[in-house]
Amino acid sequence: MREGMAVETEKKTKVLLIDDEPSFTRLLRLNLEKTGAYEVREENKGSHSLEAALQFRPDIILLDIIMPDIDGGTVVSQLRSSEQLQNTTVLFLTAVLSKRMIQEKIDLLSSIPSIAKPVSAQEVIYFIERYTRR
Amino acid sequence: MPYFNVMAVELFDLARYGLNLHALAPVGVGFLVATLGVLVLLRERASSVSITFFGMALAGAVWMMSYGGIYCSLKPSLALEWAKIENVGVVFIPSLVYLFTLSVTGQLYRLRFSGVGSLLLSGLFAFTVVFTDLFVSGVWDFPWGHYARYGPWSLPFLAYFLCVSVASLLLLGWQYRCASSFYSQKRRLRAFLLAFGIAYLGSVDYLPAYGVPVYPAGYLPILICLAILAHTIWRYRLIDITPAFAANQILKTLSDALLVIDRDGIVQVVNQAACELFDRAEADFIGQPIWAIQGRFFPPEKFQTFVRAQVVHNYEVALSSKGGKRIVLEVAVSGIRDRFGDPMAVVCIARDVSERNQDEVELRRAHEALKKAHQELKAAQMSLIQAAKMESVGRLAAGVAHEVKNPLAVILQGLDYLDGHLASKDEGVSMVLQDGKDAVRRADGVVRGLLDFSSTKEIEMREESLNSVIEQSLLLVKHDLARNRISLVLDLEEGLPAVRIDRNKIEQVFINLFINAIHAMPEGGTLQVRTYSKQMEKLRVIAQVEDAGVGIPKEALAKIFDPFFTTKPTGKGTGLGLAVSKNILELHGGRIEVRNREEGGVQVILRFNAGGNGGGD
Repeated sequence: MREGMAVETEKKTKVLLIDDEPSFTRLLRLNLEKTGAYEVREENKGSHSLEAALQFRPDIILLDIIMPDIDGGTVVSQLRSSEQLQNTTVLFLTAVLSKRMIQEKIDLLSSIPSIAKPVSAQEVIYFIERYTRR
Repeated sequence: MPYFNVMAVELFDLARYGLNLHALAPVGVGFLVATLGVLVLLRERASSVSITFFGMALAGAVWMMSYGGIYCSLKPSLALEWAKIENVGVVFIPSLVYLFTLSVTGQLYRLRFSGVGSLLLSGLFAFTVVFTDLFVSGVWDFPWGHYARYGPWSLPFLAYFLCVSVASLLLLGWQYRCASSFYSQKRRLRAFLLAFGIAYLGSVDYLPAYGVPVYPAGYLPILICLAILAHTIWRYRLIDITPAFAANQILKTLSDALLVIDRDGIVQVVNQAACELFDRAEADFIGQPIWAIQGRFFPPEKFQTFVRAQVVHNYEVALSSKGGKRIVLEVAVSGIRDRFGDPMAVVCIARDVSERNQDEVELRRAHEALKKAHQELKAAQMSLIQAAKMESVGRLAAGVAHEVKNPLAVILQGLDYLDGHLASKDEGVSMVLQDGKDAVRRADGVVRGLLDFSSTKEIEMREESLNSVIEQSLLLVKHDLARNRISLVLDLEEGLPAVRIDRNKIEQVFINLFINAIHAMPEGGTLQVRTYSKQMEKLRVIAQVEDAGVGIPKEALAKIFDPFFTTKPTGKGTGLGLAVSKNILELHGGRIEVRNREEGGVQVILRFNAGGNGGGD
């Protein structure tokens, strides 16, 4: 199965899901993979984000903001400081909706689009397609 | 007048006298009597009581001291001269005692003619004593020395003496019975009665004058009388300190202005304070009608009421005084009646209370200011409490949102996954999945409501057409309206002035109101939406949303804007719609009003400021 997927890697969009809620990442991965268009990797520890991204080299990162060990804003600045990753697209996928609340966490808001949880799989796909189309 | 010259020479020729020890006692008593008279005159000043007392003491002293001359004279002829002098004193004693009695009992004025008559009679007897031998006809030679020998004229005198003495005693006794026992006058009169009663025992001295060889020890009762009088006078004085006695001093020291005005309105008495208050000399007051001095002091038509009144009238009157300064007088007016009870005059006491009034006004003003400040403080406190409530709701909302939205996200993803994987797409499964998704959306809606509530401060203002915002909002509830068989009556004014608003927020407000209206009309009905502009102090754009539903219970009206307050059944509302709407309107500088319609249902009025600088921050 893994090898079969690897064959199709070139065509698939690589999506890294960073969220401290394993059940959410697992179900979203399943829903994305079901379409056959995405290669998805989950990371449930925010502090391992940079490591995981360097290893996986995703096309797009869906990033939670409020996580127990690190906040999304810090993760974004880590990613931006990495040469290999600074052009990787990042989307916030967060339960925090208010702009003010996001702003309290990070000030990179203007450059990073946000999606509010809960979202359907179709909505997530819509946003991924919109921001990865080059 | 060689007779008097001879007499004077003889009287002062010490060679004609010899020592007689019998003379010592009466002379000593006479000296004491004279001393007491002088002391009383000095102590009580020149009142009628003290003057008559002095006269009485003087007559008594002449009588007593003359015994010295009579007893010590070597020759009868010289003794006769002294006897005449003695009896000049004696004849005046009854009339002076009478006058003193009149004074001390307050009857001097009433019985003044009898007083003067008795003085004249005494004078007549004195004349007969000095210029004839009819009264004192010679001298007796008794073992203790010479003594006056009375002639026929002494008899009418004795009768007169008896009458006047009795009259004096009766008068004293009558006054004594009338006087109140709490009054020092009573004790004083009792002492006088006793003193004079004893003094009349001195009449024993008349007996030797008719040849009866009784030793003339009259000085003893006089001495006792003297002791009683001295004690009484020193203890109770001669007269009482009565209001009448002190009146002048009272008037002078009274700081309030006092005027006595007779029944014709003429000023009769005025004190120093009144002169200062009206800036007039006393002479300019007395005899003037009060209206000529101060017309507004009391109105002429009221004056007769005051004169006749049995009670004290109190009132305040504002006058302009010297220098045009406005003064406020507190006036007390009371009538004076004569002893027949007829109105006679009014006493009017005025006090300048301008400063006190000013103080009262300032105090009242300060009190008002304090009350207002207190109310403002209370209002501020209320809004602080409200803000704190909002703030805590906001914090709670943020926390809840995160904790609820994450599981919701999991559930939604799970439902999506199942939707894609279940091969058997029968209707029941699809329905269950759809219901699950709807439930997630609804829960999400509640959380969004909370977040909106706590994040309404972020508004992006643009100039918008309120009509188009309403139309957009209606589009979103179109299906709900249709499903609930609610017809829409739209009356949007054409060319409505633009308003500066955050379109999304105001859309949210209208959606909240429409949903409320739909919930209020479960059996269907009419939703009316109207817009218009109105020129108030500013140009306002007004939107009106009316339903024909059940209305809001009276007791709930005050709470409808409180967060989480709802009258809807569970699951239908969060209790946040109107709270959020109100917050949003206030951020726009607008207002929201909710009231029950008379014909049933609810009317909501939204007011916006028209134009570009209409509101918000």
